[in-house]
Amino acid sequence: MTTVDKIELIIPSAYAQHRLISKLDEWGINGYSIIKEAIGKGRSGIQQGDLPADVGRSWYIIIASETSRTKLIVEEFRPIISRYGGICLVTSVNMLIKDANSEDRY
Amino acid sequence: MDYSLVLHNLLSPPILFYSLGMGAFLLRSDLEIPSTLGKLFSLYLLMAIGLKGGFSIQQSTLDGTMIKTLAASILVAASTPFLAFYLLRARLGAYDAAAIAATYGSISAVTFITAISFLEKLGTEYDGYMIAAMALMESPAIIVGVFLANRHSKSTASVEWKGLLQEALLNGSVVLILGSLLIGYLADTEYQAALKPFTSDLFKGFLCFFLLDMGLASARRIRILRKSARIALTFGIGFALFTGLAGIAFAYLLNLSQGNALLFALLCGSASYIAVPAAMRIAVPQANASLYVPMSLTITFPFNIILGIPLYYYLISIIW
Repeated sequence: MTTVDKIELIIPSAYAQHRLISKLDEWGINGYSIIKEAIGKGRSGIQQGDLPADVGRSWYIIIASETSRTKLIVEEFRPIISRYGGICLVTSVNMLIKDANSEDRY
Repeated sequence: MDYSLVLHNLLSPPILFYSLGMGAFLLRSDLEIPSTLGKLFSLYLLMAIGLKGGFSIQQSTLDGTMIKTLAASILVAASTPFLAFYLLRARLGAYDAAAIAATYGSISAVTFITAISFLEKLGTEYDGYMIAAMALMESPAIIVGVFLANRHSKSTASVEWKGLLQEALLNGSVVLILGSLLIGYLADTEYQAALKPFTSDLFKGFLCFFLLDMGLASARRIRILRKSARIALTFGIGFALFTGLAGIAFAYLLNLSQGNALLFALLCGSASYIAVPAAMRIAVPQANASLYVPMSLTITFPFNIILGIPLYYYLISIIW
C-alpha cells in the first residue's frame, strides 16, 4: 500500500474539453480519470446541465499524485480555477492497487 | 391584429409541447429528458434544416437579393451587440453587458426552425439561403461581445483570441448547419428523395420533442431570474421586439419575400442560449451565466415562438 495524494478537480466543461486535457499532458500528468457532465452549484449559480451545449456542466477529474509533486500540479491549476471557476481538492489516500505495467509517474 | 394567427400558432403541437414542458416542471412532475437525447434532437434539427436549405439552394439561382441578405445578416449580427452593450453597461457593468450583448446579437436556431414550421403550416414559401444567413449570424456577435468586454474591463487578463475564434467560427452548431447545407447543395436529386423521410417526415416530431425539453429547461430557470426579473423582462422582451421590428424594416428594404422577411425578423430578434453561452463561459468567465442564459431561454425564446412569430407575420402581411 502506498500513500499518494488524490487531486480532485471540478472544472467547467467548456474549458476542460478544449484546453485542460492538452495542458495535463504538457505538465507531465500521464494518468487521470474523468467523469463528464457533473452538475451542481458554484460561482456562476446553479449548473443545470440541461442544454445541448457545454453550458452549465463541469468535468470531474481525478488524479493520483506522488506527494512530492502535488504542490507543483496544484499551482498549475490555481490560475485556471481563479479565472474560469471550479474547485480543486487534495486528500492524502492509500493506493491499494496500481497497474504493475503502468509507467505513470505523477 | 389577426388573432387567428396567434391561435393557430398557440395550438400548434410544437408550442403545446413547449407549454407542456413548462407546466410539467412548474407542477413538479418528474418528467425529464436525458441530456444526451436533448443533444441528439438539436443535432438532428440542425442537420435536417441544413439539408433542406441545401436542397432548396440547389434549385435556385445565385442572385443579388441572396448576396445582399447574407451581407446584411452579418452586418446586423455584428452591430446589434454594440447597441445592447451601451444600453446595459451602466446598469450591469462591462462583463454582464458584453455577455448579454453577444447573446442578443447572435441567434436562436430553434426559434428559426419553429418559424419555418409555422411558415410550412401556412404554405408560405421561404428560400434555402435564409438557412445560410442563420449560420452566418451565429458567430460575429461572440467576437464583438468579447471585444467589448475586453475593451471596457479593468482586468489585465488577456483573451486567447486564437481559441476564441476557433470556438466562434467552428462551434458544433455552425459546422453542422454549414456542412449539412453544403451536403444538401451537392446531393443529387435521387438522394434528396431518399432523404425526404429524414428531413421532412420526422422533422415535426423531433421539433415537438425538442421543444418539450426546452420547456422544461426554461421553467427550471424561472426561479433564478427572480432577483433580476425587472431588467430581464424589460430587456428580454423590449430589445427582442425592437430588433425584430428593425429586422422587418431591413427585410422590406432588401425586398425579401414574406416568408424570408419573417425568418430575417426572427434572426434579428432572437437570442442565443447555446453557442454564445458556451463561448462566453471561456472568453468572459466573469459574466454571470445565471443572468444571460435564463434571459434568453426563459424570456426571449418563449416570447418569440409564442407571440413574436404571429405578430411579425401579421405586420409583414400588412406592410408587404
